[in-house]
This record gives sequence, structure tokens and C-alpha cells, in this order.
Amino acid sequence: MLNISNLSVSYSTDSGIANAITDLSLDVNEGETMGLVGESGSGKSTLGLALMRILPKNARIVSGSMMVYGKDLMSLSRGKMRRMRGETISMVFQGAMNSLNPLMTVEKQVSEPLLIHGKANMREALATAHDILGKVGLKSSAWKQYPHQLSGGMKQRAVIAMAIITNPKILIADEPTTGLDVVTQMAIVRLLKETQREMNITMIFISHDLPVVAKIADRISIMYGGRLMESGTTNDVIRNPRHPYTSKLLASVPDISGNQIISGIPGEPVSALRLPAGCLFRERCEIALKECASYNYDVSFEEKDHRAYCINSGAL
Amino acid sequence: MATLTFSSYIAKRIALTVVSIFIIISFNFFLFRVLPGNPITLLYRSPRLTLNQEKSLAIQFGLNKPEWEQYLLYIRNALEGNFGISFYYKVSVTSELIPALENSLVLLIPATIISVLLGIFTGVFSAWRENSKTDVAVLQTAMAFYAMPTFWLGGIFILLAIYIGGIPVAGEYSVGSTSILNLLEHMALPLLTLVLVYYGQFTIMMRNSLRDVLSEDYIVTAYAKGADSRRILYTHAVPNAMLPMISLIAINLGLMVTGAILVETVFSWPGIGYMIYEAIGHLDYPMLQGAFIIVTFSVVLANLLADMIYGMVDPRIRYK
Repeated sequence: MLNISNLSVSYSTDSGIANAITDLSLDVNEGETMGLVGESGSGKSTLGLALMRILPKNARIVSGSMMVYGKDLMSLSRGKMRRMRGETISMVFQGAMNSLNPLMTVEKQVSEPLLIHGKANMREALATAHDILGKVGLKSSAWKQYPHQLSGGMKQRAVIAMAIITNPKILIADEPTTGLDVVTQMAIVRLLKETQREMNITMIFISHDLPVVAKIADRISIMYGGRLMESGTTNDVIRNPRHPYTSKLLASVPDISGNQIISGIPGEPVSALRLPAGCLFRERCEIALKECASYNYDVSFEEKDHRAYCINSGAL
Repeated sequence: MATLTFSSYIAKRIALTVVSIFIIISFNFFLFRVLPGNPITLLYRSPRLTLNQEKSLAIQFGLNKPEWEQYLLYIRNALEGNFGISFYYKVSVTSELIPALENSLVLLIPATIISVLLGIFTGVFSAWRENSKTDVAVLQTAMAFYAMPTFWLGGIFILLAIYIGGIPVAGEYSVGSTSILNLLEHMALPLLTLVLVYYGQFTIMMRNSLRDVLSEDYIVTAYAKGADSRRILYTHAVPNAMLPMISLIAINLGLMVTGAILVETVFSWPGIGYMIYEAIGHLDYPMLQGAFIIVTFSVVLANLLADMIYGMVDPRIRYK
């Protein structure tokens, strides 16, 4: 239902043009959870903002299309796009940080989308907000409180309630567990998963945390330097990674036994200001070949739904 | 978390205000004791004043008493609103200062209200169009006015007014007149000067504050909800951007009383500022002492007012 094809987004900065996303194509099926994984600067958050068309002013969608139910978001007028935001497509941000207006009570902020989209009057909106807030696990004592009175986990629950109150079709969760302690992280992931199932929402779960994504996502897409490296079902990507970056990410995760040595990935991520030609990962790659310098990102591994963009994936 | 109610927050602020006022009054006592010069000789500038006359005057004014007793008497008098007798006018300081304060406020309150409203309006206008030509133009204009010396701008207006004719350039009323219209005519130039000089800083402050708020995460959240520009600006951004403005307005409210010295002097407006200017010329210490107390009072009270407004609009301050 959500088809992103050949999307490129760039930022104009003081030090030049930064290519945040290059030629990205991604399909998300109705009702599934797509996990989008990458390190800082990989373009994953830019993708979320681009889908909402709320990119900062210095950003530009250079090319590509984003189809929702066959309708290109890019072709919508500003007003039409605005009416889709928070109604058809919702977004959950890092609630632990600054995503809530410090001067508004939780119930007011959560009910706001209903008022914006003319779906209810003030009284009905508040009643629905209470209902949703209860469902995401916020007690009634918190409803009339201000954001600073809530813990990080409670704020995140409020942010989720705000995003789902309009019954959206698509939910983009951008690093929703960042800044929370591990126990709260798991509770939030569980809440998102339950909500997604119950309301049959198509969810894009953006995170740098591969293990967390593996818990919630049906399929995973791995991004690096603004490009797609690998995508496939969670099982395929985790059990049988076909891109050296993915396998390096997996090797960077500690397991509970504590015997294993965490390897990490040597080198620095590529800069969006100076993207090298060929494969973006080749300078940090242990299995890089000479030909990688001229790689043009044709799909090099494909097995059913599992795709990887590496000419030497056979060596893994 | 122990929550403080709004009334106990206010009570705490008022208690602190009373303490600072007491400290100010005390400080004022010692400040004028360390100044050079003998108050008696200052009061009666007569070289023929005999030692005996001086002594009896000292007894009359209580200056022969020990310092601590003078201090207690001073505090008692101050609490009764008695700040002594003006060296120059030979009447009680309060009877001169209270009407002067009223005259100042007649000028300053409208000047503050107009410049604040104007500053907020142009600041919001400018921040919403950040880095556009309009923004730069508004900002540059505001900076230019902010940088203008009050007495210079006032002087220019006086020149212009005399050139055009028919606009009064000095005083509060024409001789013998007490009509509102006459007051407004006299107010026009000093008010315009104050508004222009003050509005610049409010514009700059509002613009920068709002620009910062507009880059906050909760503004992105509001966009993501589907809010239109109007809602983003007036429901989410402006209320948050107003918080630093409250302090600025309050500080200015207090300082305006002194800041108006120049405008009041240039336009001979019979306010506190003009009084201070005159008192310095006459070495009228009791008058200065009284004027200083009024000025510091207004700073402290303006701060109390700001704290109260803060407590009302910002929930983070109410519950600490």
C-alpha cells in the first residue's frame, strides 16, 4: 500500500549539498511493520519526515515518488497533504525528549488531532482522548498533567496516544524508544506492536537498535549513507544477512552470555556531503573488491522478498 | 513530587519582595551616610551659620543621635511614607514625588503597552518569515531604533515639531489647561520617542524567541498532527515564545522609570526622571533618596508582577 520509488532527498547546508537519501525504493504492505535500521546520518529519519512532507526548509525532495494507496503524496496540494497528516499518516517522535508542548496538558494535546481534522467537538475529543490514554496505559491522574510532570515512558505513551487517536492507516515511529530505560523500551515496543495489530495499522519503525527492531518488525530494511543496503523479512535478514554491513551490525550486538567479543564496525560513516562513488560501505568493508568502486546499485542478490545491494554477498 | 499550589507560590514571592524592599530601604540609609558633605550646611547654604545654630539644627533633625537610632527612626519614617524634607523645595519629598510618579506613569504605561504590542506583532511577523527580505528589513529597522539615543531622537522630533509648528514640545499641559486633549498633544512626542526606542528591543527579542521555539520538536509534532500555520503559531509557538518576553517586559517596566530620565528631561515632562535630573543639579539629597526608593520599588514590584504572570502561564514554575 505504501510504495516509495527512487526517492532522493538533499539538504542545502553551509558546507554544500548533503545527499540524505539517494535513489531509495521501498514497498510496505498493508498491516505489516517495516523496521528501518541505520546509524545516525543514514537518512532514516529524513525518510520519515519526507513521507509526512514536513522536511525542514533547507531540504528538497529531488526526485522519486511516494505512493499511498496508489496516490502520490508528492502530487498533493499543501492543504490536502496537511489534511492527511495526523489523519491518514501519523508520526510518533521521541516522546522522552521535547515532542510535547510544555504549556499544554496531556489530554489537550492528545485530543488536538481530532479538533484539527474536524472529527469531534471539544467535549467529544476530550472523551476520546481519555479513552485512548487509558488504552495506552496512562492513568486518569496523568490526563490533566503537564509534560514535565510525566516520566519519559509516560510521555512516550502520550505521544503514541496522540498519533493513533485519529485511527491512521500508516504510523511512522521515529526512534520511539530512544532515551528510555531498557524496561520502558520493551513496554513501549510491546504497546506499539499491540496497537499496530489491534488497529491494523501499517507501521514504519525507525531505529538504530537492530535487536529492538527485530522484536517488532515483520520485515527489515537496512540503510547506510542514504541508500538501501538490504531488505527482507526479519527472519531472513537476521538469520541470513546478505550484506556485510548487516552482518557487521549483527556482530555489534552483545549477547547475554557475555563470552562473545563485540566487534563493532571500524572506520567512520560516510558523510552525506561527500558520498564516494561506487558502494558506500566499501571503505569499512572487509570483503570489498576492486569492482566495488564502480558498483552502481543494481540489485545483486535477490531471493523472493530478500534483496541485498552487494556484489560480493556470496563471500558472506 | 510535592506540588506547590499557586497561592503558596505567590505568597513566597511576596515574602521575598518584602525582604528585598527592606534591604533596599536600609541600603539607601547607609548610601547617603557615606556621601561627602554635611547635610546641615547643605540645607542652609549660609556661611553665617554659627556652630550653635548648626547644633540646634542637628538636634531638630535628630542628627545628634547615634547612627543606629537614626536608622530605626529612618525605617519608621520610611514605613510611614515619610522620606524627609526636600532641601530645595522645603516641602516633604513625598508630596513632590507622588505627583511626579503619576506624571511618569501617564507617559510610561501607554509607551510600554504600545511598544510591547508593536514589538510582539512585528517580531512574530518577522520570525515566521525567517531569513526572508521582510525579516531582514524588520530586524534592521528594529535594531536602528534600538540603537538610537533617546535624547537624540527626542531632539530631532523637537526640531521637526518646531519646523512644522503647532505641536507642543515641552511640559505636560499648556499653562492653565487641564484638558485631556491638551495632555494628549503634549504626550505625543515623548510617547513617540519612547515607543520607537523601546519597540526595537521587543521586536528583536520576540523574533529570536519565536524563531527558537519554531525549531523545537513539539512544533514538528504539531505539523505532524496536521495543524495549519495559524494553529502552529498561535496555539503552540507564540505562547511558548512569550515566556522570555515576560521577564524582558518586567525588567523594562522597572527600568523605564529611570530610563525615562532622558525623555522627560528633553521634553521637560514633570515626572520622576525629570525630578531626579533637577535634584542632582540642586544637590537635593532627600529628594534623590526618595526618588531612588521609588525607582527600586518599581523594579522590585515589576519583578513580582513578572513572577506572578510566569506562575500563571508556565506550569513548570507553578509546580516545583
